[in-house]
Amino acid sequence: MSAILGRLNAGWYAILLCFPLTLLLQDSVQARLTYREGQTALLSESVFPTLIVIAMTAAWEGGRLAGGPVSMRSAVRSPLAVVGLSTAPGVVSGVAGHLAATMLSLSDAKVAPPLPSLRLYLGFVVVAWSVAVISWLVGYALDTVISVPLMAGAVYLGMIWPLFTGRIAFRSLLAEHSSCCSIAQEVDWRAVLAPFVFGVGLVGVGLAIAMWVWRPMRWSGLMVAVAVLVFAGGLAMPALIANRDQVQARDMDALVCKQSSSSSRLYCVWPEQDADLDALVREGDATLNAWATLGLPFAPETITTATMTSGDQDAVAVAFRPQPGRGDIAIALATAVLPEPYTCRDDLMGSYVTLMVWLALAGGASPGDRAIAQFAGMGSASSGPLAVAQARLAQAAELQRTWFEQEYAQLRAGCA
Amino acid sequence: MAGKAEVSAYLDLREVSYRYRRSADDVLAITHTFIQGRTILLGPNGAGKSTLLQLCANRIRLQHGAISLRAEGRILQSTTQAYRASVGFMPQHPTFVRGMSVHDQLVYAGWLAGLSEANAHRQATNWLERTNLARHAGKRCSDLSGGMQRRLAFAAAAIAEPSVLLLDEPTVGLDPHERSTFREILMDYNDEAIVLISTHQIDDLDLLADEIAVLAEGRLVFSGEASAFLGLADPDLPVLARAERAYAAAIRRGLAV
Repeated sequence: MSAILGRLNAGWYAILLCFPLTLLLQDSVQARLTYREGQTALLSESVFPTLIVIAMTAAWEGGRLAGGPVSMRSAVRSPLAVVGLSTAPGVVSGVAGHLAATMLSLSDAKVAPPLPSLRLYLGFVVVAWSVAVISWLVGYALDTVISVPLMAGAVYLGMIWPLFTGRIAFRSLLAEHSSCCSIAQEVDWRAVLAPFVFGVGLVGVGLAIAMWVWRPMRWSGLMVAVAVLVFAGGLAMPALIANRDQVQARDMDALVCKQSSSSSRLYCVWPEQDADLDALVREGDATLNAWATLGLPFAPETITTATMTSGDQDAVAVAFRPQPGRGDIAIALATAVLPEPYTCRDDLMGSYVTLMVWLALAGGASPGDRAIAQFAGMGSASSGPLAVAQARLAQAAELQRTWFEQEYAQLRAGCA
Repeated sequence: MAGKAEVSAYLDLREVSYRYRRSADDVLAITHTFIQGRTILLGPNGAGKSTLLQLCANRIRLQHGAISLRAEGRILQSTTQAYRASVGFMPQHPTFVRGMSVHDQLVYAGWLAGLSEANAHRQATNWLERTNLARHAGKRCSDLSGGMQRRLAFAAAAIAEPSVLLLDEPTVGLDPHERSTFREILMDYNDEAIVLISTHQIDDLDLLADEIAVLAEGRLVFSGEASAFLGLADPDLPVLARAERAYAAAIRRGLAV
């Protein structure tokens, strides 16, 4: 039966399958190399338009089946079976299209395996299904000319409305789970639960009302009341997480540590990064040794991927993508030892980028390294900061150190 | 025609009444038992024929009274799923799913009527043959003529071979040839079933009807065999004129009570 119903809306489903891929091509879907939920977070923007298309498809399908030869009231099949079966192809297409875009994006970023956080992705499925069911019922009740744009608008408003973006929607849950630090954060369980309860409650209300209208039974009124209560519970969930961050710091005891073989330096990473710990130790030691050869004053005792409290001179926090190379680690260390760029005066940003690139190259990174190109935002190797840094590297060590000390002092003065 | 001694299927309406919202009076108030065979429902516009059929089909909610079906040794209340599975309804203005082929339309109707998907496919093919629509199976419904659409709607109502078949003005607007074709298809339907047909056409009553029921102002004013109905008028009149006179007499007599 789903094949028969599916054939009807093949065009819509094709759009749902291809739409996220289109977003991918437009760079609206991006996956930087991150760990855990951060990957899903980066893809959350593309959920927004996908949900709108799912809503339009379901409203269209509901309107189409409303004209069927057998009334829903007199059909033997329950409204739940009809709604479930006819919304399934749209939801599956939307989720499959989005998942394909996600995996392509993650694969392109060399994340293995190229899967988003399934725990959070399930939130997308629940919300997509609730949107589809409600849209189908509206489509069944109203003329298609009205229901399709109405549901597109309703979903749009639902997604941009502060109540939803701020507290309920998994979209905000994910978006606020910033990519750089997601490895050091835990998602608050209430923030995960809220969209689930909200989505299931919304579906429950819709189906209970449908049963009430089409198949009144002794307990129909009670069913609607229970469904409304569950829905209200879903709406109340955000109150529980109001004024709280939707993420919280991870327990530091989970860190996995390893000592450098050539010094007392300690490297610590989260369990998900365990496979990259050896690379961090190897490339970190090599970078810091190269800096020491030049006489640079950076010799932290602890290098960790946990977020550090400010003011700790002996410990630095680094962030890097999976399977890091020399360039990734050198850039990560340079970022950790230089002042925060967003605190610098605008006129110092050029110096900051040049110094960063020079530090990475001095630490042994290759000029053609992708990490350096990405960081500097350069389209080609001949761009400004890289050329300046390479020219400095060609100078005597003493000259380089003198230049560095001047630039570094200037940065420290200009970046609070 | 089913003889009284052979009757094994009943559609029982007990104190059934229906009133539209904002209406002061019931549009229908009836207690009656329909038996197996073809019963023609006659009555002026607004007499309650469509309301009666829609109540029996669960298309509108029963407000008062009870409807039950006795068939194959079981008594099924109208609120049960088993009852719904035993009833097929053809509306006065059939509608179809936009874009769906004729064959798929029937498969979908069969599935909604409770058939498994495989069985719905088999029955769809069967009913396309029986309604002479097999060569139009791949067409969209909008490409069918009015008569073909009526036949398709009949097939959709009958695809699960229900014990009760409710047809609301099934031949309205059809030309004589299409009416004749439709009548043949209907005559071919299961003799054991209860078939209620509301209509204004009385020229072929003697060919089609086992029983006649006449409604007026929401009440049943005549019920009996076709011969008894025609007996209300002068037997020397031509068939059509006799049926018209009998119809007028039934209504006049019923409303005078």
